[in-house]
Amino acid sequence: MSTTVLSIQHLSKSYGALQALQDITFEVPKGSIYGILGPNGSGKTTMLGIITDVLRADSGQYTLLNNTDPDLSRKKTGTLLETPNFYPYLSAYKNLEISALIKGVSTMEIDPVLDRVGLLARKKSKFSTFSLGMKQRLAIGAALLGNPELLILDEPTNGLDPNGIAEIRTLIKGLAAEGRTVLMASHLLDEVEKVCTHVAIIKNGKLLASGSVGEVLASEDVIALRSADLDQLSGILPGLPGFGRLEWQNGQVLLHVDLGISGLEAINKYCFEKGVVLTHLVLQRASLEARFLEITH
Amino acid sequence: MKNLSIEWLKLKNYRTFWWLIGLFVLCLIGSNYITYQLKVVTSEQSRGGLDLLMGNPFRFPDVWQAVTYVSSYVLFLPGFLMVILITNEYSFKTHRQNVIDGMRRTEFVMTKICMAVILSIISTIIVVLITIVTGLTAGSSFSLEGSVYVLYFLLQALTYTLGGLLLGTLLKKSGLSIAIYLIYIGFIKNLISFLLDRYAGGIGSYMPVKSSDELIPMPFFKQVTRTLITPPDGTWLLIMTILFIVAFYWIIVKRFKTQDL
Repeated sequence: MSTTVLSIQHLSKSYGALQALQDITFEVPKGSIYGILGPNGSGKTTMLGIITDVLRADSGQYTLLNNTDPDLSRKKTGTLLETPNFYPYLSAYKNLEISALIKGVSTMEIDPVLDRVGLLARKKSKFSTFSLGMKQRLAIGAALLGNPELLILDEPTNGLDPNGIAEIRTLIKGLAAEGRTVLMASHLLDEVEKVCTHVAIIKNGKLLASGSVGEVLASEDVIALRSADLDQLSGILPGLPGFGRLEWQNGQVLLHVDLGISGLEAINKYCFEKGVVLTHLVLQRASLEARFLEITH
Repeated sequence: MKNLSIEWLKLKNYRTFWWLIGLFVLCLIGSNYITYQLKVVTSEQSRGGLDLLMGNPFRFPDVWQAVTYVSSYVLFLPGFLMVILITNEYSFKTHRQNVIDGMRRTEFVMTKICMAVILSIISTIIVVLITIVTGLTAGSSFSLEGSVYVLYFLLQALTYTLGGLLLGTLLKKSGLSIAIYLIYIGFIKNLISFLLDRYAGGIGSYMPVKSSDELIPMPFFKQVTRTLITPPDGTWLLIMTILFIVAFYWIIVKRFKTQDL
């Protein structure tokens, strides 16, 4: 049994002059909650559209659930792409009946799934009478039909109120805890950080980083230093054990250093011994946003 | 079969579909009834004098041509229905969802083509029933002579339903598709045909949809029209009609298989 549920190789796609995806390659490990993070219009939906066969790639390949027949793989994958797509004049139940029939799933599964997304009481209501949040939940319900190994959720909390968002996030974590893999696109950094185990960051169709959330969004600590003579200070700092690099910023020096080797006390002592008296020594925790902006700029 | 039952789930509770089907059947019966009554009334008023000119279009064997000819004017309705059925999928984005859920693109498009064929066959069956009832009501005895017009009617029905499906597949937007469909059927088709007849050596009758229209010539005043107009070549009309049907089919399938949904 392979440990990869989705493998994407060199995927490219353009809409006329607009290059929507450029040579994207990454793999989604089994059991992960894989976030695809990127601003609106970065190519997230285009990529998910290609692996669900609604869009045609210009070049590149993908393998879904290690299956050579992509149609069969899609039946075993639950997908919510962009918006909930249902027949407005049919009830929630009848809409799911169509999905179940296509997936080859028993209609006995419909009620439990509706119950799980909290729509069982409204199963006979027409889809057109649903609120945005209910539509979104019905789409997630449809994705759950057939007990899929992989869920592809495109902006699953879009349009939901704070309660709804919390519910969906709990639901997603629960699904992963049951051993399913979840691939979700989001433009919300905070959402990816709270929910995901892995992340791929795309911007303007390019993959900027991918890997576990810890690796990709690891926030490096930075130390801000000031002294009367910044040139002299900058001159001695590279000699510090565990030194990373230096930046100048608004009359202070930002030092990237391995704090395990040289702690704040050691830095202060080192500078004093080299004849530099510090007037300012502060540890700055880099925020996740700063890290994200650093990657995307 | 599985895909047709999925299609049935979509249609069963779709009110517009049943309204249009009902209207279509009503128009088929109504248009033939009115034309028949008109013939009866004018014949009575002219004390049979008009019959010399007009012939007996509602008696067997001529009734096959008369009823299929009159009914063909209502064929825009099943075509219109096909435009709605396909553009609905595009506007609800359910064509995407069907594929996302695991339906093959070819399965999806072939189901829609099957729907066009089924609608055409149902239309033809209704027309056959109307023909038989009308022919018997007119006091003639049943005859299969001239029933080739039923085949022509089926080809015409296929042209309209597949034409509607093609237009919807190409344009995707329901309002635009419906407008262009109706304008083409009601106006542009005849304009192009007229211009081609006039300036391109009489090939106007062999244009898309028009060629299938002309398969069934006007059954009334045959004696008069025959002396005034040279009818287009029947074999060529048949060949062109079948060619257009095959072309419509091929473009629909090709387009749906390769387009971004």
